[in-house]
Amino acid sequence: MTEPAQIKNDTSADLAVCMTGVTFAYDKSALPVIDIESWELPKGRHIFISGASGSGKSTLLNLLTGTLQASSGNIELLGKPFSKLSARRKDAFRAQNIGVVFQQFNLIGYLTVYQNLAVAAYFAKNQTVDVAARATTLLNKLQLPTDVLHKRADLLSVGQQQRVAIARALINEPSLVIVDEPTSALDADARDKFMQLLLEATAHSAVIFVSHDKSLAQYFDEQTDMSCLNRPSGSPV
Amino acid sequence: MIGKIALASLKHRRTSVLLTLISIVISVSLLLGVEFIRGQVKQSFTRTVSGVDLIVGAPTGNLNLLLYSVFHMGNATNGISWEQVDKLKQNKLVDWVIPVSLGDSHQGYRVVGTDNRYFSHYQYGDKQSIQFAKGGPFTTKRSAVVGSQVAEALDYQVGDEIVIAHGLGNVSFKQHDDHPFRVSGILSPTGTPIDKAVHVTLQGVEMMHENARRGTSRSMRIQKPEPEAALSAEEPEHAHHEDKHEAAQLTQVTAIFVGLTSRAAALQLQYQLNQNNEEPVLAILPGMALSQLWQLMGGIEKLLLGISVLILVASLIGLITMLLASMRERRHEIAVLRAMGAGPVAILWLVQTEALLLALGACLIALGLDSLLFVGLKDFLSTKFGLFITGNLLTVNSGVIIICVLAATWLCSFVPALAAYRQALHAGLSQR
Repeated sequence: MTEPAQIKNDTSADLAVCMTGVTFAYDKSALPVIDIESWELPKGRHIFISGASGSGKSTLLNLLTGTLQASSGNIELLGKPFSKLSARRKDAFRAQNIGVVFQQFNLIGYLTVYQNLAVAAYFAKNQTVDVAARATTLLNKLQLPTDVLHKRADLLSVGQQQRVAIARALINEPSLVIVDEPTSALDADARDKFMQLLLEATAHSAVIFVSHDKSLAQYFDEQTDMSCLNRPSGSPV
Repeated sequence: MIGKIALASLKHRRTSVLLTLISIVISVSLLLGVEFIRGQVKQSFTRTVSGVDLIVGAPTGNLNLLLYSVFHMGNATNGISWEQVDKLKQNKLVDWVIPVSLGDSHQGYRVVGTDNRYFSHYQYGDKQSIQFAKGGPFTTKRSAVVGSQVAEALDYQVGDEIVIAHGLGNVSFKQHDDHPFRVSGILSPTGTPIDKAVHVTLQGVEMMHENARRGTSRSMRIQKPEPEAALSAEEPEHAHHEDKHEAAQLTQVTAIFVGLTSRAAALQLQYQLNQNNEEPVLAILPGMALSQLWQLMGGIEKLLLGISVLILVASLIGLITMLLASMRERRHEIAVLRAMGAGPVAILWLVQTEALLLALGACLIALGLDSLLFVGLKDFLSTKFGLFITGNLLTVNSGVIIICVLAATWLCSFVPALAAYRQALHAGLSQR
């Protein structure tokens, strides 16, 4: 029997994301909060998705990372039928191919910067990556002194934490990076600096950036609004 | 990596972890301590007598005979005639006999009337013979040999005079002070009731009681040796003829320790003696009686063990509570780990590793603490309770206890681990 994850589709091979007929409802009896008829994102493209609170941005990201299971439809990521994978394979796929940057950066405070990066490499079971060397390269790229590697994450400044969060998302050289409102707590200068560093570091990856701040759209190849992407039942077309 | 995260996580929550650790350390220390003491008591118990094939006494219960003759506990219901000693001596199956006469005391310590064969044939532990720390066996019929604890507690030296009291209380109104004994030897510690006994000659006991019957009595005294009271040269010589002279005077003994030419004959002789119709006696096999006695004490042992296990259960519940309470504050950490690719099983394993690390640390600390405690209390336990600590805590039983504690911890940790697992299943990327 062929493993679904190994099926290759020529048309989807160049796509980072391909969603068709995807719906999701938190409660089976309730109306779906996500209803995406069709959406594609080519590899290496950076997309900005804006939307008001409650528009389903976070739910969409959870579907894309496999922490939520779609009620119906197909999600293909990097040419793999992601929505059809078992939970275990989804976890492995996520660890190896998807980098996530959170709103609050969400570093594990009691671990050192190096350990935060090493944990991400560990779950990706990435034997080929020299974590220390890759971490140093990333920190240099993100303009962080390498001595922060052995500092506890919760002792870093907010600016340093942002950059470490990017480094952690990129430690496994993912093809898809998901960024969930990381600038919401930053002032304009810090926000611009963060965006610049993020986009430089993710130049070769597809990036899905979600925020309600539409002024950030200028940094991306394309932009869309959740209201265009997601048409849950009962919403105006 | 999971181990490193677990260790760092425990360090991060050090206050609650420390309290839980202390609680587990206390319970595991108790469990290990009770088990160790139990083993030592059992060892001490079974080492009390060895090399004696039969104990013969007046008809009573097996345990009663064992208790009063070997452990010097309780009283003999009756005595047996000296003829039984003579008969046993003549039996071809018998190698040696040690008659003992009990019923008197000295300042709360039991007095054992016996002869010099006691010091050469009676064995304890792993067939260890009784050794003299100072002096030697009886040299006259008024000689006394004191156990190590008696000598230490009452500060006796060879040559001191001691007075025996009639009966077994700490305070007796009837002192045989007209018939003092002189200490001829002090025994080395044995870890058995011998250490707490005063041994005198059977003839001495008989004479003492004879005098008492004549109604002579003086006030109780313990005398330090006076220069003129030193043993005369004739006394040892006199002692050589004691058997012939005094045996005729002896009428009764309390028990007889018997050594056989072949241990295989023990059951045969026991049967013969117990069927004796002329003068009913009871013959017991010390090994069997000791096991019977230990089984009787098993209830207390199990009760202690049960209490320790309950304390451990309480500690493990504390551990579960601590881990469950931490789950709420760790929701975000679990979400982060999930986003990095950690599966629910990895999250479950992380929580279990934390619990196991905590329990393992507690077990090692408890092992160290108990070892220190028993080394520190070694002398106290031997002096006050006659419990001789031998060996160390690193026994198979301790290993089994530690493995059981870890297994119980692992099982208990499923409660918070499954909570974490469920949390991980439903954890989205961002926990706000």
